[in-house]
Amino acid sequence: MSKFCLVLCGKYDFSVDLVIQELEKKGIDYIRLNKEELSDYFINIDAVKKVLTVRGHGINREVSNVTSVWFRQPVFIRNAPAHALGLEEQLSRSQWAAFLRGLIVFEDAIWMNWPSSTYSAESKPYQLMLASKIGFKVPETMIGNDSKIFEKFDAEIIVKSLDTVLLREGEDCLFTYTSSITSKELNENNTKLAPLTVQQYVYPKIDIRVTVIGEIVHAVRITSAGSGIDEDWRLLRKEEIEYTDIKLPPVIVEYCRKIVSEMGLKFGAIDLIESNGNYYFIEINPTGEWGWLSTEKRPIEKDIADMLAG
Amino acid sequence: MSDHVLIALAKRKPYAADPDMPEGCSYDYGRGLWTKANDVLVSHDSEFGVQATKKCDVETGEDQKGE
Repeated sequence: MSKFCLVLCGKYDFSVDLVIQELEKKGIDYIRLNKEELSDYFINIDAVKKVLTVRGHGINREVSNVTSVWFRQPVFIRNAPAHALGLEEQLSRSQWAAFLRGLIVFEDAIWMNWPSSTYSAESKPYQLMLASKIGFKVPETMIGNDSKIFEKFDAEIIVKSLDTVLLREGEDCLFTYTSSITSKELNENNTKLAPLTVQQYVYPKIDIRVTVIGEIVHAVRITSAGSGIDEDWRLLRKEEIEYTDIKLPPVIVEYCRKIVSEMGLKFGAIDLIESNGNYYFIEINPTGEWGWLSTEKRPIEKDIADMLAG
Repeated sequence: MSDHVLIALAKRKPYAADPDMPEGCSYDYGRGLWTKANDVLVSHDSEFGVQATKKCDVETGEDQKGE
């Protein structure tokens, strides 16, 4: 059977462009559907016969050989918008999201990643539990809205959200990065409304990003001027950040592979911290970014395309 | 404004539904990628390189995919 890859992503998901080029080189048949434009097409599935038809933007295809699906989609709706949605937008959002989830009828295809695996892997508490069970060191962490519990931490702590905080207020958007503050700054007034994650501040630290595709593991140290970055490295300008390939201890490599496979994932972007020779698990992103890490010597898109090619 | 620490620590910036794309680029629906003057926009040897993936990025967190 010839191979066909279905790519479900966003129009501005630029990392996908790199993988598309690799699929082209491999001669793998594919369609890319962007979630912003689904209603521009006529798309149908015959769930029983497992046939997908797509018409629009020059495409007119009936596909009965979906052999891989690259699912770069949210698995649940998170934030309510700051403005009321019209009837059509409400309907379109809910029904297309369900349609995309319904593509699991192509159960025999290679999924990167299977949506229900992504759903559970998005849970930060679950990640920490599983990471510890596998053998990773995990910084002491408390999750909740009871500031009394947070008093047990020493002065400096890490504060972060349980899920991405991306909020709209008027013409502004707000995004919350991982922050370090002192435990004394937390109280009932500024924590009770919503749960948060409070974590031991591991110092000194060097951030490590591990990209796992199946059995392949790419590990990169993230530094600035050769040193670890105390704050959330995403707050620095791109030109201030260095990404250096590193060789992790074999046991850490195995832990990385294991957490990805135990979660039922084919792809995972893992954040670790190295501190005084110890490696701490911070989190895993089942749809994490990697385009900015790709180089000709670290061709992550080739590894992804290889996986999708089967 | 809420007093919650996750809101107090948030960085605020003007909302943009779409990123600022480099002038003259367009989306090729046949291939399913961005191009500029018939060349792909994002590749290791393109004018913008793979860093276009960050240059044009609207920060939404890794797991939200621009939701």
